[in-house]
Amino acid sequence: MKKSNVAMLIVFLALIPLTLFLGDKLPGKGYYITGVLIIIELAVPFFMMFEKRKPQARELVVLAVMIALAVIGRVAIPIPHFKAAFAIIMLTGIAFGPEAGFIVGAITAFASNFFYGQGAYMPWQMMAYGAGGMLAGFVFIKNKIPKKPWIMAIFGFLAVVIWIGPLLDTSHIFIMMPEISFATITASLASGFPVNVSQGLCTALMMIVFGKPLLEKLDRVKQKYGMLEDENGI
Amino acid sequence: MGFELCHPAVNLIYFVSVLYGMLCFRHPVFLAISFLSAVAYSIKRNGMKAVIFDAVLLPLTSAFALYYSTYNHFGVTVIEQNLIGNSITLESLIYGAVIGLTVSGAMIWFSCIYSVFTSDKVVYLFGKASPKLSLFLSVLLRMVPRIKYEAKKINTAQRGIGRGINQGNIFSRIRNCIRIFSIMITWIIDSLSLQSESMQSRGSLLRGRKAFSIYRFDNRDRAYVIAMFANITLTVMGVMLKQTEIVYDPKIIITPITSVSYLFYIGYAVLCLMPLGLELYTEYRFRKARKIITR
Repeated sequence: MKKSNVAMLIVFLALIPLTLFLGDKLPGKGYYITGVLIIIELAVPFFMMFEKRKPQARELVVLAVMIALAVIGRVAIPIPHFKAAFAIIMLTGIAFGPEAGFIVGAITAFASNFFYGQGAYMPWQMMAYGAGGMLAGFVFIKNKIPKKPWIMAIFGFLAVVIWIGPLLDTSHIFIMMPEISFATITASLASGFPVNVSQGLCTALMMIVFGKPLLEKLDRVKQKYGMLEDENGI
Repeated sequence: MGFELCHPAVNLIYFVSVLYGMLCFRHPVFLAISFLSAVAYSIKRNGMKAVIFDAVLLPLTSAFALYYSTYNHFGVTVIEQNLIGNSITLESLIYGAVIGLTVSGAMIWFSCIYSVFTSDKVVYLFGKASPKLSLFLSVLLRMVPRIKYEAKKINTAQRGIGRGINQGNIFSRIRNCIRIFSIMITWIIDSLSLQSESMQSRGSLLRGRKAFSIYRFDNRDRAYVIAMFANITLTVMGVMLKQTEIVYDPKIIITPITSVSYLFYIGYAVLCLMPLGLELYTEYRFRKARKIITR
């Protein structure tokens, strides 16, 4: 494991939950502060990815394009709970590694919420979306698992149903529920299950349709410019 | 010859205050003033195109009012009962019209903003924060027209081999659209990284670099700003004296209109009509000066 991967895990497991926990106590529109804090915390492992050099403008530009695509994938599809954003975030994680996946996911949640309305759930969404990209990056690291469309589709479905969906539902537990008990937790997880399945189906479909071409494009720029790698970046 | 020749900061202050007024004042008089001056100014700027745009927005507004009143049933004045027994009230109908007018008025103001604010002004105003931000701004603002142009080019090329977006049956059309979209993404990623690379090679990110601009803050801008702030102050006084307040639910309640209220109305109207007046006045001066030459 690289140093930046370890830093990523530390940020995800320790710093972000702490921020969310403290951010819940902020009054009014404090969730903006929490959201910005999460982005700042994420920047640490992201910059560690480049080790001795600074990230180039072109690398940030490629990530910006991926964020724009993911936002469009969420906003432009008019079917509720059937959005392409997760698939694009995961593909970014697969192509560029967990740190890039996390930062793309978090900023996608932040930016696309301007279309849907911000709320206290926004930092949680940033965390959950980013966690999806991060998981994809860790699972497909070092090409141990072949990046075939149907494998990515199965992974996408399982990741949404088991990982991203429940993470999103925890926000419901902490924000809405008057008390936290086993019954309330199972109730909110169960009520989120159909939504997660429909999102997972959409993610799987998108992986099959767009997985291969999008991954090819990203791998191409990666090879052409040596992008988002620790060495031989100019 | 007109408002776009003022200093960009003046344009920014004006449009921010006018948009704020448009979106926040629910009082019918203020709403009417803002909406009508938006229509007048957009017609002055964009001509026939603006007339069509504004004319399309009006039926949409009334349609929205009808839609709103069929889903919201607050208010005490019942007009009639609809099919499923819900009462349609005068208050919700009027409030729907107010929301519709607010949104369409903001859209008309935005059409004016697009014609006044060119991308070099945006870079000039917001790029001062850092050279990196100004690089991103200039690349991104140029991106939208470039994407349109490139999409047209790709579609023309694809049409040549029978894969255009309007060739074949519905399924092959969808497939063609997806294919062109995929080509576009490849092009966008590649050209963006090339562009930022080339701008960096020319020293775009160096410290102390400034964006070239021809703007300077002269006495005409000063006079304009002073007049603008006088009117903004009048309007703010009106807001403080609760002249803009109105309640729609459950009954329409307006702060009583006194003779002083007209002062605030005039202040707001002058504020909204200032650029239109400036442009008409400059044209008048220009024509008069030209007459002297040709005589």
